[in-house]
Amino acid sequence: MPIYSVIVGIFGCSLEALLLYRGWRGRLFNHFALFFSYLAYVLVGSTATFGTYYLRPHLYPRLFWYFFLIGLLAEFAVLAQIGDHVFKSYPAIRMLGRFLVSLVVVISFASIAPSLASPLSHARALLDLAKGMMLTKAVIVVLLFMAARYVGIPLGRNVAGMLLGFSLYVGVNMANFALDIALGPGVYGQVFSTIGPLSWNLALLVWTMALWRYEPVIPARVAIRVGESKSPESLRYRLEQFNTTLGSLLRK
Amino acid sequence: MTGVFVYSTIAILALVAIAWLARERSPGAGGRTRDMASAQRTGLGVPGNGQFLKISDRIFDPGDFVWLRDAVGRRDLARQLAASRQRLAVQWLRTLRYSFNELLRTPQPAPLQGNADSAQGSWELLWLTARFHLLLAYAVSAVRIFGPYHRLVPSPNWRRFLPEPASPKRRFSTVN
Repeated sequence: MPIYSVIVGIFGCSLEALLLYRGWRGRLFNHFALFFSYLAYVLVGSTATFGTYYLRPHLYPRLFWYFFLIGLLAEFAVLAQIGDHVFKSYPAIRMLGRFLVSLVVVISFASIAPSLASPLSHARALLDLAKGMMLTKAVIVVLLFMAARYVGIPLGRNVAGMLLGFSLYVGVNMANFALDIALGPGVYGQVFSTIGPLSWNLALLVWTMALWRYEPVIPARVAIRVGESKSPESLRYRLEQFNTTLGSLLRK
Repeated sequence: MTGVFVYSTIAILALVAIAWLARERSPGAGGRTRDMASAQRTGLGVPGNGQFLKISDRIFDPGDFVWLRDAVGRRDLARQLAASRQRLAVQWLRTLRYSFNELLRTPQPAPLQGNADSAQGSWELLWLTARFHLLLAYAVSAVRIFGPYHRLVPSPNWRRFLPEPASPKRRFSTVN
């Protein structure tokens, strides 16, 4: 293993440990349980794969790919939790994050599945799968940002930082995987193994800054009219009223 | 190589879009506030009161347009009126959207996890929200393309789409 990879790996593990420590101290665990569980998984997994590389080198490739693929799947759960967190205080759109994540995942897996059945080498199939998953996550992050922006919901420093870090990681890796598939490991392999960990460390830096302390989101200021109830029934009634107003206009 | 170009472009666009979207704004600031201010300036009023709905009746009523075009015979003025009403109609729909989004932004404490009834209710509320936005997007597109006096839902009576002879009695009829 080149010295560069060791340095980047140790730096990444230190940042992960620091983030976990800050999450524990700042009680961020309660709010972003899946995100910190994912970080703990990456920290333990990275340490285990490092150890395996030096102690049992023949097991390293298999262990790395298992660790990598489980991580790719876990990131979807993390994004779903971030989506829930963004909209949780707003009853009319409480399920919007979950809906967007599910929709994009179903569409993307439906489009990825046929390519997995084609006769490719294992390495190429894994790279294709990883590239497709990165694209899916990039779409989810952009959609979550857009939905929050469209409705006018403040994201807060913690969530905005988490999404920004994710977008850096998935954006850089998506291009990296595409380049590796196109140019081949012979030409691009060295750069590929440099850029991947670098993008992860960049994301960790963004997360460390964004999640240094818990910053509650101040809900958007809205005008509550006199005599207006905030119960779910009242909300449903008003949503239906809006739909009726628009529906009657369309039927004119 | 096409794949590289496509994926690299998507990655760069995603990063640029997210960096732009991540800029923190004060709650409620931006285009929607401008929509609201503009609506108040143009005299559309505030959504939620009766006057706002009465204004919509006036904006989408083709009576004045038909009268100018057919009874007075001033097609140029009728066209100007239609263009002005089209702008007002789009503005009215934007104001309605602003008001709806304000309702969506009303915060409430999240329910306890694992409450199936609450989850079911939340999905129903999301459907009402999505339905409103879909209808609104359709209405804005129809008004922009066809103007405010076109029937927004096609009528099953196909004869209404044919031009009819002008008559003073059609003062309050629809155009299309």
